[in-house]
Amino acid sequence: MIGPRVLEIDNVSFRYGRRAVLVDVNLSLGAGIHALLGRNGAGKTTLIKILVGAAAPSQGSVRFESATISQNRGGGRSALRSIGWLPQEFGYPPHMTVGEFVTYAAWLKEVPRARIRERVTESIQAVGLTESGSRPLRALSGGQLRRAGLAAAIVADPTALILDEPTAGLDPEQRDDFHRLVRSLHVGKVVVVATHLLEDVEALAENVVVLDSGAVRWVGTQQQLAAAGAEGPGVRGLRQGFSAVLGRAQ
Amino acid sequence: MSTGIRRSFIRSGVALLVGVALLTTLQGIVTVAAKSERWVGHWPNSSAVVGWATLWGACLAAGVAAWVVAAPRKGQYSQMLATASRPQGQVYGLALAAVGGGSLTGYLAVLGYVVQRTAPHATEGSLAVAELLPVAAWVVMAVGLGAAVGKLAPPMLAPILAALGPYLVYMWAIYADVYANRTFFSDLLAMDDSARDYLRLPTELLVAKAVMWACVGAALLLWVLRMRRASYVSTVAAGVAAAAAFLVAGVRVDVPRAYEAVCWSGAPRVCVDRAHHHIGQQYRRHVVAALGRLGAEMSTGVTVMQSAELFALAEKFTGTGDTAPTPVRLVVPVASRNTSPAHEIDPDRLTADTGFAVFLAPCLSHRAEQGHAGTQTGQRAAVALYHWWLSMHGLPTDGSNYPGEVATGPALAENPALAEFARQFGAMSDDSRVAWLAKRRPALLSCRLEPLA
Repeated sequence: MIGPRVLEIDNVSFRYGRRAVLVDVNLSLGAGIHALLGRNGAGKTTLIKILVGAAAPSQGSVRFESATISQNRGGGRSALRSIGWLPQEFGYPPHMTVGEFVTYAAWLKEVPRARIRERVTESIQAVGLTESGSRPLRALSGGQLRRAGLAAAIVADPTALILDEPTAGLDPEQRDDFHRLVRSLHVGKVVVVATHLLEDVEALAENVVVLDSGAVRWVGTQQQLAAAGAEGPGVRGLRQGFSAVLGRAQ
Repeated sequence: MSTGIRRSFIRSGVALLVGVALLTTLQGIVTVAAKSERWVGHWPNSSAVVGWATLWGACLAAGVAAWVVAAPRKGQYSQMLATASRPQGQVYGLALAAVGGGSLTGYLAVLGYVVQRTAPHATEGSLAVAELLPVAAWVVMAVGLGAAVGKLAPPMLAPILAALGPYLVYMWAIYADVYANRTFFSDLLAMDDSARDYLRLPTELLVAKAVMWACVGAALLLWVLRMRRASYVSTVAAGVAAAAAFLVAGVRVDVPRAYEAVCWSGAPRVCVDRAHHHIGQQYRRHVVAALGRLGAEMSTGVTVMQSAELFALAEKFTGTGDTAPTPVRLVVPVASRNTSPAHEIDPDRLTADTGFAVFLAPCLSHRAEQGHAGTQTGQRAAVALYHWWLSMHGLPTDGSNYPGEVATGPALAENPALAEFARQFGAMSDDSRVAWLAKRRPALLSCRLEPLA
């Protein structure tokens, strides 16, 4: 039975050799868009990899809809089916077209055979790549490639969507398009956006988690983060708030 | 999966299977054909030689399996596969099964080639299925090893490192045996250099090492496919099988029937052991024809056997004709230029060996020890006659017909009198030569021949 739509991160730590990358991370993320904000090297990508099952925590666990995320267990695999992921940098099997790539993603996420065609069409349409469905991935621009990746992430109609630095490398116009796209997709889902760009936070996030040196430093709404500084709302306010939060933490 | 991508998957799988099968077949046939004199017509050796196809075949399978598993990392989409809810066995299964299937198909083709070469000639026994079990097990081992290396090694290097794996295992076993001065570790491989003419490997060893390698491969494969519990069980099973294999490695089982002699009556009477029965008729025809050049008198009362041991070991002689040993025994081995024994007749080598048996063997030192000491003149004359024999058959006289052969050409060049004797003997008419030999047969066979007067 599927539990509440909450991504529970319990006491997650991750060590790489002797270096602690994540230290006792505890979070409970419900439906809505959550920004995972932190400087480069804060541990965002590692936490994201643990959330999607690409890495196993050294300690603690991640549960989604009451199932522990793991490739090795039946329940964990069903949780993986419910999570869509757009990595920061992603590759693809050579020579695949957009349609083939999204179909492959659907197969990997065990979308029922009878629904694959329908879901692939819907996902490609949702990201605005209908015209490019039969184009090879290698022929796409950076922004189009991100959209193709997002189509692959949502093809199994996931209830959690994890996006790692989704606008990195995009020009301002592509970035605005992408923000609109994510906002249109998020309804009823748990969306986690790992980013170091405050523009992403302002455009997307309802809630913000500030991560620094592998630990959670602050959790609150976007407005609360802006209020922590002295500039008021907007990117400048968020920047001040972010600095203030980190300054307080240190 | 949609029809398009399913078709693409199937196409890739078939391409992998066919490619691996073709390359495995090609290298396997080249490898076993290069050893044809050791096995053609003889089922036990034919069954065992298929194992040699695994030397490079396993390298190929491991390399391709590593490439299959490392490709997503090279293309930076491995995390997409790692976070799939579909079991990893299904994600990589088709491609790895295609590699294993291609490898197995290749070995079956090699087996087909071996059967096709041996079946028309074989007179004894049948294909030993137990000898083929380690070959099948090495398919699993190679795919498992390749998959593990593909998961761990840098993607660009993984296929090369994996392909080196089986060869390093082979070399390690060979060097370990050389260092230990015994045959032990090479017995654990799918291929070994032990002839199956008169001995065989225990069936328990063949089964145990097959189970061991299959379990090692399965354990690695299951680990890569994240089936950890099954991987653990396979590892334990491999350990148990290895313990069993270690108990019987190095042991050989005697095949008494292989020593029995099969003879054909006539002059000369010709015998081979059962291990060489399949070439007995060809051997006999060749020996009879060769001795016929020396006249009927030279074949009367003579038994030609293919190995000296046969006289001592054969408890009973079977076949046609009387069973009583004849007074004159010539040993003419069946061997290739550099190896012994062989299962294919090398006509030149057999001709040289026949000449050796007639002219030089009576002068060997061990016969002297048995009270058959010849004279120095007899020895020189024997060398001259052997030189004539080689020259008559167009064979080299520089000692290159087989390892350890007397170089008659240089010997005669150093001794003008002997060279003159050989020249005079060669200049005789056939009838005169036959008469000369008939008159001096006892002296020739006891190494007491006097040169031409």
